[in-house]
Amino acid sequence: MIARRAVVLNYAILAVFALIGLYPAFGVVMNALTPPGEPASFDIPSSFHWANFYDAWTQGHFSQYLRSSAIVAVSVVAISTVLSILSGYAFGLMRFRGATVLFYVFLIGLMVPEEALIVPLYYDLRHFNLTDTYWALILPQVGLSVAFGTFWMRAFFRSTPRSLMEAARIDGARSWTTLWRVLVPFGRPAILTMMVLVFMWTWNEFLLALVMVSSENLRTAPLGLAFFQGQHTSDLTLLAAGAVIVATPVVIVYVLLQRHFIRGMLTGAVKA
Amino acid sequence: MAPVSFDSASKRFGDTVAVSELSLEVADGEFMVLVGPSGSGKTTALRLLAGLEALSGGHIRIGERVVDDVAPRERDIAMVFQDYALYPQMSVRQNLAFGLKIRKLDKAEVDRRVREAAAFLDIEPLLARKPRQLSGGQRQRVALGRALVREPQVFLMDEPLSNLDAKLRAQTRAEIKALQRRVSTTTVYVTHDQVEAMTMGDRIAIMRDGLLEQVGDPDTVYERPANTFVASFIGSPAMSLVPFSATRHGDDLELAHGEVRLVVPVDGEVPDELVLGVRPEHALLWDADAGLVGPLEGSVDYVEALGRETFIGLSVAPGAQFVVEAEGHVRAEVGETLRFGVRPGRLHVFDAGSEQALTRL
Repeated sequence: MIARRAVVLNYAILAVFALIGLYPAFGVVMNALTPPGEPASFDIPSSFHWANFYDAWTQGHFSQYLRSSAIVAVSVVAISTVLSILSGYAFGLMRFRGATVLFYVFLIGLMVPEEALIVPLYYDLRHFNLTDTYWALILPQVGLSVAFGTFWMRAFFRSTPRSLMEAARIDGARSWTTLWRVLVPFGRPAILTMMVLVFMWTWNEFLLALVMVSSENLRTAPLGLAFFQGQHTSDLTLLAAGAVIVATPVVIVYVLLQRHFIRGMLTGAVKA
Repeated sequence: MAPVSFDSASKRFGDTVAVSELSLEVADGEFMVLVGPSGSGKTTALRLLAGLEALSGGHIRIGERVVDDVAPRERDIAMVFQDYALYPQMSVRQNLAFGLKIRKLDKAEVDRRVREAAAFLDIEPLLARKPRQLSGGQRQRVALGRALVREPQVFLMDEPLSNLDAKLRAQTRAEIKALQRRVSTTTVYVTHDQVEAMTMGDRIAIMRDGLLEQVGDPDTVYERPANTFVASFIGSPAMSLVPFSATRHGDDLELAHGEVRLVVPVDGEVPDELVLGVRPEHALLWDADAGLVGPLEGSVDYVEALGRETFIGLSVAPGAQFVVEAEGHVRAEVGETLRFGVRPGRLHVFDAGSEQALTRL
């Protein structure tokens, strides 16, 4: 039993941190709703001016940027999820020669910062005539996400009860069937969590888009936001509206999947 | 249905020998229980038979077929796991049907088998539920059902009752035994519980440290244990085992442990150093008219009054304890001195060196 005082204290501490985390976001949203002519501030404005979003959307070409971001993010999430499940399964549950060494090679993908790779990556992709295409955004991010995804899914597969897989084997399932019909449905929380994380990282990726893409119609939302910022340095209200537009999809995805997200984070920590 | 045979089957994990040269024949339709303490190799033996572990040496046959290199799915076996291993995201019906669908049985046949198994195990109302919505006992039934629908050559069961409470365990014990009788499928059942072994097995194989110590029907392993390990492992309370030195005087044998002396008639050879084993039900409080061997005198270490009977632990010398069974109303005080005797013919004699059974006196 936790004492009542401890509960109150817990909530107090959590409330403070929630406030620290939420206040800037709240401020940006309030800023985005400020009517023209009023000074930009974090306070609640005299009235909510929703038209700011429309203005930002049209002036900033956000429909184009969001479309690009969606194409890239969905592709990266889909491809890297399938690949991560396959490689995580192999590293987690199969015994093969060189597994440990290979796994460390995958981990390098987690450890080397993107900034160190970006210049050689640019020349490589240019060599294949892939710069200024969606592939220049999708392929490197799939590579980076699979490094994390393999690490994540391997941990998940290691934590699944061995008897579950053995029961499937005795029931007649081969590795492929065991994976897709028994283990993947069982691991839905872990897989969805991985997808949310990869989606967020891909959506917010800036440097890669800045280096690899020059055509305006390929610009992703964060890159578009940066250009928008360059054009409207003085109009903080419009900038805030643009920022809210760019951030909204991530918030929606997280809210829709947060139940699974929390469960995925707890997988392995608590016995089901 | 098929017989199963282990032919010098061995399994090593690195330097550890889990199963050593196991040779065991399980007859067609037989209920064989592998029993032993943890680390005895019984579960590894079962997993070798299932194909979940690869043999390090020897052979295993199911029917006429050597299955050493045959994948689990092609061995025509079904297994019930200790934690049941039900597929959590599938309903009970899907759990039962999974193995059949993978084997591409036609839908009508799958439905028929699932329905029959569900009726057989009384789980029809549960078919639409998910495993997490079931109690432990219900999950256990579903796990049995999943094995049953497969109609395999051999059932393998790995401690399937260990997660149930005592009352449910006793009930399910009888049910599994009855089920096996009805379908008469060869069954290999692993447990560490000697009560399960005694009540369920047509025969019992007792293992220790990867070695097979004895195989026999429950009566034989109880009445004629092959060595001191089997003697102490089978039966509860355990057989009392006390070392004695023996001196022969004509047809009598004088047994001595420190100051303790016991004289019994003997024919045949007996070594100088031996271990005497006495089951509690054959050690009785002294009654001069009962024709018991004795008397022996000991001080009371403990008293276990179970209502129907009372077990009294008596030390005849430091480190030499016999357990005596008395009637339920009998009471004794710790430290009190009591005399007791042993029914003639019920003194098990084991060789002190090899621990092998020699004779009964």
